[in-house]
Amino acid sequence: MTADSSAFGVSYIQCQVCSLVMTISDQVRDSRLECSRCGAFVHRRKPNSLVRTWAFLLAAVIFYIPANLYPIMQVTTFGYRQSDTILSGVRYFILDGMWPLALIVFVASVVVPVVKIGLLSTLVVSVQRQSQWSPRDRVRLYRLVEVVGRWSLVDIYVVTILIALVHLGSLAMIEVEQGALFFGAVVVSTLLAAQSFDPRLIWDQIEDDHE
Amino acid sequence: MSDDPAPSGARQDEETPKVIVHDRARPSSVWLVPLVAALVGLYLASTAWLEKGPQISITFESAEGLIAGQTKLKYKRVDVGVVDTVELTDDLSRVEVTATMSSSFARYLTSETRFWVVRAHVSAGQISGLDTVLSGVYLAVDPSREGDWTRDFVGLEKAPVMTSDKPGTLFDLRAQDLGSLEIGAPVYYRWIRVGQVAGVELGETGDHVSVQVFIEAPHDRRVRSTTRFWNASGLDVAVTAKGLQIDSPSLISVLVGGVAFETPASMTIARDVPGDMVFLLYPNKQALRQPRYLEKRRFLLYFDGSVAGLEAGSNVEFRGVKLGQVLEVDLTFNEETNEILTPVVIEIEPERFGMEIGIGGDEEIERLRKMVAGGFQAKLTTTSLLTGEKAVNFDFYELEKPNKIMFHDIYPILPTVASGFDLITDRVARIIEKVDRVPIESIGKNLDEVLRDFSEMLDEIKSLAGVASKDLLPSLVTSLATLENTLSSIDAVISPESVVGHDFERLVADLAKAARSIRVLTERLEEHPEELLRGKAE
Repeated sequence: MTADSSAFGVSYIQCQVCSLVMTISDQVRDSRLECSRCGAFVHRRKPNSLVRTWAFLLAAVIFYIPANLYPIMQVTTFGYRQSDTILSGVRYFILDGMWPLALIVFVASVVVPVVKIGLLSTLVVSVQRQSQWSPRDRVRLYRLVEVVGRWSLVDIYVVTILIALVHLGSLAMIEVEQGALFFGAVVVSTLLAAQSFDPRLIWDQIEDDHE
Repeated sequence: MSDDPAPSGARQDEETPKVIVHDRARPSSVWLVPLVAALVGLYLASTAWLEKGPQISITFESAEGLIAGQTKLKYKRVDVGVVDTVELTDDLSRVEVTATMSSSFARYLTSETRFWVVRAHVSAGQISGLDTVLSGVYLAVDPSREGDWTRDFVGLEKAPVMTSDKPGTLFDLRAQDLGSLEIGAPVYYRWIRVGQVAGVELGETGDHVSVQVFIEAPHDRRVRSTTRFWNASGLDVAVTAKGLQIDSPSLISVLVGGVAFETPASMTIARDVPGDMVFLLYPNKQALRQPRYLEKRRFLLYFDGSVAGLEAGSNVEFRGVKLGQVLEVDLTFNEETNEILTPVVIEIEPERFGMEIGIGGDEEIERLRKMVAGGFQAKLTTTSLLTGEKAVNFDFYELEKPNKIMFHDIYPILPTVASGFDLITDRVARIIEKVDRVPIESIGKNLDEVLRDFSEMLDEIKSLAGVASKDLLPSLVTSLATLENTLSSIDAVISPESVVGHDFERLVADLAKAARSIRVLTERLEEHPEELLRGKAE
């Protein structure tokens, strides 16, 4: 995937499979490239990066709605059933005075996905609009998105562990519900969106301006 | 691969190969991801929207155990809705519960549909809803397709006995008092539980208790027009010649009471029960043998004499056959005439003499008026001379002038006649009065005196005898000795051989003659005593 732009009009591109270095004209855009030796596809930037990112972001936003509306798990204690959505769970923790737990769940399940979607959208928009915003800052934001992203799966982990542990028949029972599925879909979509985004696009803009 | 459009004016090192360039990239398939997401979202939204049924409101006395957003509405333990809000009504008198029903249930929400809260209920007879102790209460629904479309309901405070998923029939019973019956008490047929008491309330006039029993199908067919219900509460203990008999359906009915019924073989043909039929609830099984009547008429009687021995429950009879009973014997003061009266309230059961039920009204009054005019009157009779117990006996008596019913009191007043016993007692009283006037006391006193004199006399005789034995006896002995001497000398004188003797004989013969003449004379005189004065009648 490594690519170097050097002299005017012509850049070099290396095949990731056979390591052949090839030349490519700068005029070539939006085309499929193929290694002339081994035939593998080569590309200068992640192909369709922005489009993919947008698509995954959109999917994440759509999944986010049912993830919050549907309960993620159902707790049965002594025959008394209670289904909790993410937000009702947070509310339950707050009412019970368990502030730290409420904060963790809230941050991991609500803040992180929203922030991730928001940041990625901002980055994509900034690239598309050829913003002059400092690339260093933007890359730093992107790194933040990547680091934080994995933590939003905390909720899913908690649910899966609880389901496995609390299985005492009618005495106490925890079952997973639809919400968890959608929440997982949100997390996966945002992870894919982050993966699809190519941070080099941020720098491309600057280079183009320098030309 | 074939075409190789060389970039114009490109300076390239010969040793570095060029990359092969294809056409424009095909449109990315990545858009399928959000498309799928959107489809899933749409699907969920549409099903949620389709499933979301009507919102209804139900009011209850109390919201005990109801939780907004959690309490379910169930029919046959299947969720058919969920409670959204639990709020007080504006006037704070009730609780208004709003609930979202599932759409498939919407057509069963009519004015006939009933809602009630299922809570754990423990009574002597049964335990129900125990699972709600742990799981929390739920709202039960009894759906109905009949009735008008509505979205506002009034919740029941108690689970109804009769629900649409439990077929059966309601019967109306009428009882003197409730006994230990309560709602939910079992109904037995041959000691098999076939239903329960559905409702209990005081009758409109307050003189009876209305009991509704629900009998489950198919047992409700066992109830016929001649069926008799009795209160099977508690123990039925009877002491008979056979010994002690204890009869009780089950321990539970001893505790909570119950109703039993049977259809006896009788002269009347058992028909299907008409809709408005009211059965009598007998107080116990023994009471079945004494038929009771539902129709009652009350009358007032004023008796001239004493009503002692007459009390509430005393019989009212017609020529000795029971017609009804005395309800009350009272005491009132008539301010106008300054009389103290003893009104007797009686109850007559017209069914006993075959009067049709429900005849009532003017026709009945008219009939009664005729009867009274014909001499229908009440009379007090004594049923037991020992205890003085009395009964009111009606009969037709000959009248000098026709009687009338009077209607100026709370009940119609029927005429009375002085009782035969009253007359007897009058006569006896008069005799006793006469006896009373006899001076038994003075008679006794005199008798006493006589007796005293008599004993004095005896005393005197006794003392006299004493004196006689002491003084008289020796002289008597000497006298006797002299008498002997005298007699022997007399003997000598009067012996037949003596002159004296001969004379004596003639004397005696003359005396006998004289005596005969005297007898003839006396006989004559006896026959004709007047001859003494008038001389011998010729």
